Amino acid sequence: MRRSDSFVELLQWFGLLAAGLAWTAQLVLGFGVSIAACSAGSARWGVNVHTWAIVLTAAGATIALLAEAAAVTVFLDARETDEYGPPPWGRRHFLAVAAMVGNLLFFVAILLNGVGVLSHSSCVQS
Amino acid sequence: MSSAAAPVERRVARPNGWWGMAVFVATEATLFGTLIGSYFYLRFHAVEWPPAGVPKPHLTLPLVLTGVLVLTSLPVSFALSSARRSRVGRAQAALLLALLVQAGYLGMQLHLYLHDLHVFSPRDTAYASIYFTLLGAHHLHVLLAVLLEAWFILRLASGVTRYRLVGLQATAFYVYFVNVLAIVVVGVQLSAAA
Repeated sequence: MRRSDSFVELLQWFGLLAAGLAWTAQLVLGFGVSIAACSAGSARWGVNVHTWAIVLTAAGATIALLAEAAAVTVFLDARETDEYGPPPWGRRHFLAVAAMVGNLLFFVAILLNGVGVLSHSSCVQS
Repeated sequence: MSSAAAPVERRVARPNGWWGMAVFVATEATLFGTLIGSYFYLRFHAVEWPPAGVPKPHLTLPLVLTGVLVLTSLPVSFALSSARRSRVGRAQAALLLALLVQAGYLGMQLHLYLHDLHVFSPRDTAYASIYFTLLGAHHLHVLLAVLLEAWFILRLASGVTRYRLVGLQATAFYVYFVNVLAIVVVGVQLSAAA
């Protein structure tokens, strides 16, 4: 049985976009945290880069996994329709396949980003 | 409230080829977003921009070339509408016009690029490194647009099919994106002249 149309539509866009946005947020926020921790003016705030890296990586990876789950759900719902089939199910099938592949890449990118930050000393030019 | 029926805007479903191009364009936009972010990151950390010994970019020629490139959106749009009406000859002619103008643009830009390479090297400074990377990446995108158009000029010779029409629609989307990107890139490039 297929889910409600608007819910599947929401799942499809979440599955396609959420992991990429989580990766972007991790990069941008991580950059902001590094600047805050390492700049002379904000050093007294006591921002801990490693703590933030763990939080951002865990949040980003969770979102990427949820996006993957959403993409798989949409793919299973749309599997009766060929990817060249008529919209909206043809489009959902097509974008769900793209999302399933892309989300795995984003998941790995988020993890590597976090590992990279954690394995380097803060406020030292590499 | 009037009972007269208001004109209902019919939603046109996009084909999957168009969505595929949209995803591709999103990844390319991310690439250029990171390049432009890097450019301004380096710029805000530099005392002099461009650094001493590197000439400021010229204003007139890049602006004129960008204007010419942006105008190629018109023949591409015309080619798409002609193909939708199965007017193959007009579609091919419009694509050929766009291709020739873009090839001319690319030729001029490559000439400028090589000239700049003789004046300053991407190995010398961070400015030169990001300058050549950003411009080179955009030139490659224009080249891809030219190749796609050449492909469709050939493919349309044997008629318009639904499949080819979707491909042409995706190509037009890509050309519009590359043209918008040209405005952004030239803006970034010329910001060093300010």
